[in-house]
Amino acid sequence: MKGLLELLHQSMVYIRTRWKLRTAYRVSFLLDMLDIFIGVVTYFVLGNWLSGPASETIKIYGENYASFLIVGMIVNQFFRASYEVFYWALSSKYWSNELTLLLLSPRGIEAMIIEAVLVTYMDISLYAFLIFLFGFVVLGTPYSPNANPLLLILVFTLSIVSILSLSLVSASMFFILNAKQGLEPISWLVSMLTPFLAGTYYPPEILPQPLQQVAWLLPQTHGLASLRKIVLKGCGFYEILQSVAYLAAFSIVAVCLGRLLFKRALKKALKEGDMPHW
Amino acid sequence: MVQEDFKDDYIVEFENVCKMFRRRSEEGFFRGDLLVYKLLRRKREEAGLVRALESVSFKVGRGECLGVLGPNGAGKTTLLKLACSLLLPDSGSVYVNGLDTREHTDKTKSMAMIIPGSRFFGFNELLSPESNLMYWAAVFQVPRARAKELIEEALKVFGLSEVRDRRVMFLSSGMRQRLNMARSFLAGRTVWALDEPTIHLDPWVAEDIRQLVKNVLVGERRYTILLASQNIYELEKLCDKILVLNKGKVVLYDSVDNVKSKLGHRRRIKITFDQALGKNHIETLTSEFDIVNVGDNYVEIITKNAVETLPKLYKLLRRLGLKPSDILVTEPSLEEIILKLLR
Repeated sequence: MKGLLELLHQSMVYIRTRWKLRTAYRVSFLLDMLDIFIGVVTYFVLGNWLSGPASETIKIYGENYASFLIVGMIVNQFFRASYEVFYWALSSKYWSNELTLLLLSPRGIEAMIIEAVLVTYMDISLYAFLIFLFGFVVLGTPYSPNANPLLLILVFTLSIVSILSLSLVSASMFFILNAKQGLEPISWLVSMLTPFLAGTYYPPEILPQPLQQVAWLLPQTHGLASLRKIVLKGCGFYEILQSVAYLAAFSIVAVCLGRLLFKRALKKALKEGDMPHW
Repeated sequence: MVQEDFKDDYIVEFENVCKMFRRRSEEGFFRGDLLVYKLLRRKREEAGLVRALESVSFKVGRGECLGVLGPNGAGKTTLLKLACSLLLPDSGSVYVNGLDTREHTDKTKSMAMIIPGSRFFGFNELLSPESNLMYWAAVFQVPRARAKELIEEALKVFGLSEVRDRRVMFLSSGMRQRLNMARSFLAGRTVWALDEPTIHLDPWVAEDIRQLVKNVLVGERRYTILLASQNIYELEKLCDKILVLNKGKVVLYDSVDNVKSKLGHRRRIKITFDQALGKNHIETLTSEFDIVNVGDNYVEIITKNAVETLPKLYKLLRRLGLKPSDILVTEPSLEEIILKLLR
């Protein structure tokens, strides 16, 4: 009996300690809760759509849901890696103390950016290639023979540039808002909204009108929609012109904003002695 | 103060440098969550400021080694970060090779390298020392042909040849510190800031690292070294000058020899007795002399003038009926002198 009470007491200490740690970053805790809620809503919308008007709306993007989903998954891998890349690179270098030495290197923080981009895309390309191989070659999912590779590269590049710029904004928050642990708000917002609104699992057209308006503000929505239209329907430049123009404009604004904020963040960190964490 | 006029090329100069940091708030529902703290725009004044360095001035010449000493929180690491341009001063100026770090941050950054005492400092644990050095050579833009040659030299000079293929995760703390130095060697910097390089090391390994610093870095006078440590013995052994910090202020700045000669005329007198000392004996001795240590049958006294103290001491001992079995007069260590200054 005494042993059992001891065990109970020990377990309570573990639970209490874990709870204290879990709620130490309260914003992070609240956002995690919201994340779960959004996840449930996303699958609810998907379920409703699949059991209802799926076959009609899917025609906007091609023949069937399988190809829609496979393109969505491949592109989403790149998008997700892109908007997380700088924050996580900065965070891992910071906590491992590598950042201090990188700052003293001739390329400085630029070295970190080059490395992060190369390593991330190397991993993701392999992953995307495997999905492509499995989906299109093994399962025989159809893609359009009229797909224009140059247009595909253009849209893909514009999408990645705009999302990488958002990633730079997100990385700036590491120092500007001191979001070094727990959730970084920009990255959280983008990663939460993308599956829900941008059309990873279902077309954004099925969402209620106000949510659609928010969805089309995201570069991911334009990227995903255009890439699907090119790969699955063989659409040409003029058919996706609106999205290309939006992505180009978004890229310009986001690159300027990202660079500006990142510079400001580094300046602040240098002044406040926040750069090396030891 | 140390004589500065014999040297005209100073590599690191601090001129009235002040540095302050903000203290973080630990109150309220979102305590510790700085993100919300900032979003809610709470007044920063609430948290207050901590003065890390206050009017710090010193100069270090080419090939010299400056020891920075002080208790925890004295500002030693802040001083090193400022010298490496990882921090900028709030007021005053820091010059590296004659360049102001505030105006030429990129240039001054490329002249210095910091070597922290931590075991975990930016190495890939799954790779060997050689592969890690290869990575850092690329980061420091060492030309490919030169990199191989330099890595070989670094492995040899820092005694890593035998473990060159072993994963870093299996290296001892001493080996990691050697690897830390080997990495800095690749970068080819003239200013080395060593932040407690022997911390967390056992005395034998620490001595090994000290020897390495002495032979490779200090001995050849190729590098200008700032060495922060809490180990006075280490600084006495390795440094030309010493700067003692306490709560961000310079308490002492002079050459090691000067410190010892200025304060070193003090003597430590150890008197051992055949019998155990009573409470009244110790009380009487304490009232007359500056006693620094007391044992069952001995006392240690620090005096500025041993010649005057000794007859006075004999007289008192005779009056107390104490017969000394041994009297030993020695020079106090630098440690004793500095500890006295900090008290």
